[in-house]
Amino acid sequence: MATNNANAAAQLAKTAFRNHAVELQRFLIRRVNHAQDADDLAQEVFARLLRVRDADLVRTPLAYLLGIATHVVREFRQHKHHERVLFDSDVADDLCENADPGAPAGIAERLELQDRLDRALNFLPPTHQLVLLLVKRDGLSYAEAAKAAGLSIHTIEKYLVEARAQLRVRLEEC
Amino acid sequence: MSDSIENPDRRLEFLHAQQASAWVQVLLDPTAEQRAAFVKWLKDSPRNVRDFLFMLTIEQGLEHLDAHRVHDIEALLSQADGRVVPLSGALPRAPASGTPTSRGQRAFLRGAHLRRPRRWIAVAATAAAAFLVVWTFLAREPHGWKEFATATGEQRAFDLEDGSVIHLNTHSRVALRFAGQTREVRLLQGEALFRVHHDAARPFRVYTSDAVIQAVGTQFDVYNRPEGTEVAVIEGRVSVTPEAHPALARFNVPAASVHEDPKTRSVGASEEARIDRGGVLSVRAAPDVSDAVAWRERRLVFRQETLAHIVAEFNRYNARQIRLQGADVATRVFTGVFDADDPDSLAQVLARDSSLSVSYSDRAIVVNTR
Repeated sequence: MATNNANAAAQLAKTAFRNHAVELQRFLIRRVNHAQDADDLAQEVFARLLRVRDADLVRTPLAYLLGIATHVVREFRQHKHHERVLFDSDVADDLCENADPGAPAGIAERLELQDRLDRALNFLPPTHQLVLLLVKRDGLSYAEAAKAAGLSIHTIEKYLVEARAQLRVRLEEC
Repeated sequence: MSDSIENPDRRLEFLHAQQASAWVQVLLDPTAEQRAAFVKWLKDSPRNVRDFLFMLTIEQGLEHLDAHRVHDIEALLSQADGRVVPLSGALPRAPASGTPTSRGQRAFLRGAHLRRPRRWIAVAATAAAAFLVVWTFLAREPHGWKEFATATGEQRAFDLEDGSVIHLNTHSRVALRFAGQTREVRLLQGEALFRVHHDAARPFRVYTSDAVIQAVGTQFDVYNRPEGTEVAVIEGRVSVTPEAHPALARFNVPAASVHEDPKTRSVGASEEARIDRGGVLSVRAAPDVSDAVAWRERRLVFRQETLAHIVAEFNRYNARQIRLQGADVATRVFTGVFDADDPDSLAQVLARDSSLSVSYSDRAIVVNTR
């Protein structure tokens, strides 16, 4: 997987997510600590995924998933807008978003997520920090990172998988 | 990680997260079988859908991991080799109440440019120059002011006691004082991005030599330039008042409320305010407001800017200065995105212009007309 091909595919996936899922990102970043809303989203996306033919889904699973999830987020927002307003922080956030159509696309959320990831990074073991920094920050290929860290390519991938999972768990308190 | 493994709930959560993370890894370059297996997994449970979506968000966020480059690869390598227990305290942020150590500082920039080894020498020179400038932390306790500063090429984030965060750009200085009713910040030099923690009872005010910017809870960038102050609002709303008060250098804050000033303008997200040295305030729409904070990712973004402006920006970040000579060089207009640490990249672009000549020395890059 540590090939140029993989890098190109990764780049594509990144670009797809960045370009087509700004609203989805904003929604998700805001809900990292609000499990209920995220569960509602997941339920709805799940229900719609079940209605898509497997043959289509298997061809471009990521595109389907992101497309559906983005639609659902949009519907959530419109729906919420017409509901009676309950004054919790999420509703307040959504009202702010709706009142402010000129708000830049998710920059604030992205910067906040980046800060929180930077904080969460400190809780990782040094080996996992090392691998993340080599690959994500310094842009090394898996082969280059393996050489720099004295690990196998397989271990690099394993640590990346573990590191993301640890960040996910840590993010709730960072 | 140890506590998450001991706690059964956390352990379960971690295992789910790890599964989602493994799928993110696989989907970077999946085979047809893997795509089919992924779809099957997604259709297993809404929880998988949720975990995967969150994991994609994290993967996306990792694109700009450690943008301030506070982590040192060599230090981590030796830690990993020695099987040192994690959490040895490589703090990326200086708590506002503590005294930052120079060791934490030194971690910055080292090992930062593995991606471009050919630039090692230039980067090393820049780093060395940056560290010659003593990083100052002058706690002006007698007046309750605390001061934070960055050296040339350095960027740093400070967590404040109220939950706000200040990102300080290169060669910048702020002083701040928090009291029961107010949060006061003076941008003495350079540029800072403020993420203000919401507290309606304690307005957050930023003073420059041209203006006062007041916020309750929002994100905005303030740049104290020689020709005036620029404010870019990323989120929420701030009020901006032109106010060239002479007290700035003396650490006195006027008692008058900002809101009572008739000249005060409200500036919202995706808007930029400029206050020139004469106190003239103008507000414009800024759909490209992300350019204003691109520096946090160490990028410089220019859209139809004069070479004089572009060069001034580069020179903020680098010990190796660019100088313009010749008649009309400074007023030429360029558009481009550059790596802030790499003045050579600009020089290379300019060298392609047949009407310009570019010469290099250790301390400077000189651009002249042919």
